Amino acid sequence: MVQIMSSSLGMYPLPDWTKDELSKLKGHQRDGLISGNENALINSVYDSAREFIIGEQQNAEIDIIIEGQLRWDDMLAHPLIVHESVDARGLVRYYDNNNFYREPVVTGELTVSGDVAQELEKTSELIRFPSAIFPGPYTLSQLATDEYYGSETSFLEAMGEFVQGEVNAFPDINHLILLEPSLSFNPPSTEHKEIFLKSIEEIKNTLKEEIVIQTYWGTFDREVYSDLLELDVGIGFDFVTEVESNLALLNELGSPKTASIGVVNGQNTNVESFGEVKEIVDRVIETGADIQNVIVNSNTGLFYLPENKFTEKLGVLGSFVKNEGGL
Amino acid sequence: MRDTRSQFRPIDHPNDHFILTTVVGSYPKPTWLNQARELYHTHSSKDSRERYNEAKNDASSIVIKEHEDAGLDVIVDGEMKRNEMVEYFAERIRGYEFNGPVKVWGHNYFDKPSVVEKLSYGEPWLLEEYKYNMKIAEKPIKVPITGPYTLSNWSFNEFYKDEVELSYELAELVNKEIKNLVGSGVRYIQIDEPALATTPEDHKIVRDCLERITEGIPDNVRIGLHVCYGDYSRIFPKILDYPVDEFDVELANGNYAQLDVFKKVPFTKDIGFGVIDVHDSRIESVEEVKERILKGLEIVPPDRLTVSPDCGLKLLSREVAYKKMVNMVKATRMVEEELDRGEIEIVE
Repeated sequence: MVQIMSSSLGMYPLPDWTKDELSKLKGHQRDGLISGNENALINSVYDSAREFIIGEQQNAEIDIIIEGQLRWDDMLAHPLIVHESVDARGLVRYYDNNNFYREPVVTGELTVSGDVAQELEKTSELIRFPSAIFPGPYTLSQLATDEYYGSETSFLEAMGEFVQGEVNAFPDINHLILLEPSLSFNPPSTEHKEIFLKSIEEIKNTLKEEIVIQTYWGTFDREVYSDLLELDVGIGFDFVTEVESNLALLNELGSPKTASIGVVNGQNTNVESFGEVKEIVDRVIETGADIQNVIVNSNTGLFYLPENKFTEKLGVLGSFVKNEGGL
Repeated sequence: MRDTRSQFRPIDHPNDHFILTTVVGSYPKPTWLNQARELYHTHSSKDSRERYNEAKNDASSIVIKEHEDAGLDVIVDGEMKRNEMVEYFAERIRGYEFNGPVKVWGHNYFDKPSVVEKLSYGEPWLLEEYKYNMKIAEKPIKVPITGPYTLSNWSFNEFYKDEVELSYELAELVNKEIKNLVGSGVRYIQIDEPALATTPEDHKIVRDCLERITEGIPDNVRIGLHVCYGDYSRIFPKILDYPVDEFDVELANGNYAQLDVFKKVPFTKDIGFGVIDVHDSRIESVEEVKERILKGLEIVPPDRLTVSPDCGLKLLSREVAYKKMVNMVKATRMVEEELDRGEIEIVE
């Protein structure tokens, strides 16, 4: 019997009532972006927003609750941007789409900052065992510029250690989802793949919680997918941008025990129907006897959406599992 | 190549050479215009609407006057009646829906609209704006319109098969709007496509859109294309096949790092050459702007050079925006004088 659960990927849109308030407190320019050194007033707005957003997930009857990453300005690069050994430089685009992040330039050793751990500590005060979302080491190494480690391989190794250090500082969590869009967008060379896999294995070995490697804006390279299966980690797919190629991987190479499937489009206001979600979930389950858990998910973070559509999409995820027999 | 430029040469132009000066479009809004808008949004009464409309007309009149005083050859009204470059058009096209603000970056949001049904023209978009400006302006007017690819790219698409199909539909509507404007006397249109040159293959979509946009437009109408913040190597020299007269680019902000891109093959269109950094409140000196104009002459001869700021001036203060325009025009006239005296070598 396959267990179906609902979740969603961070980051979330800020609730509308905090948008004005934070604009006033922080301004509209680059110096108003998150630095990790916000004052108590700004942090209290984020705390209220976090509490609100957890309530939204509970209202939608989402099974696996996340923190929401409301403080994040830089969709994936945040943990680097707030790090003391990283310079946040000019605005650049992510993956040829219209979203911007500050270019993180690593100028010193990437020690453990604990920034995201603190967010999760605060979440743990509101709900037991939230799930954690964090960028994966390969994607971080692709987005960041190195001015310290000296070679691409040592930079990728350092990113692996950085991610491991950060997630080891987390409080008790449910799942850890590592976001790896770069695995689809720009697959690693054989050498980089080996370093990446070694990092994931080490992270997995130091965590008691389940880990899911989630890609989006495409699908996995076949080799990377096979190797991830061998590592026995959860695997996350984007079924909004790729359907047949994801199913081909599952059919031809096998399936993971836990599959997170992005079926709700995080970047379009069109709200998915029960039937549309069910079709994909059924097709995934049909692919293999190995699947034990299916996490019904959004394909990307939901911050791209206006607040009303964000709430509706959470509702789609929650009600699907409720009606389909979830936890 | 057809000549759509000489119609904008002022009768009393002081020099033999003529380098066209203009601006891209937006201009800082007077504080009282924003106040009138706030009042209208708070009260939504007939009275507050009339006052807001009056304030918008007054603001257009003032900006037109400032552009003329700065000495520009072709002016716009600073887009005083437009709230934002996508929202403004989406409010007028049937088939769009608004759901609320979405993040652009940091704490900057825009009301990104959703296309929820087949689009249709709806009410005229810019006719009223143009007719008012025509009564006020003594100089020729340029009308900027957000291009279909950007309108498509910056909307949620819930209806069309993909972004390409949506872009083509919008291109048909832009064509209809331009025909209406041309019928009322417009002779200079600028299509704004800041979303162009952001992905490797988008130049093909934009070319096909421009074919649709310019279908049935008379030969004496000048069509420009404005692009900013993109990687120009992705679109040059492909854009030389586009059915436009002028290609307007941002270059000052990047300190002309992309200039060499345009030297790969002869630039066979007019170039709208960005010589003013709109993200820097420092006012460039006349001498500095002159140096930048000379870089433009490395690409095209003077009769195919248009001098303008990188992009809309709206992020600057009014005083700074005005002074930047004044220096830009002064520098251009000085370059023309030096050309007349044969002191500058022309690359043919």
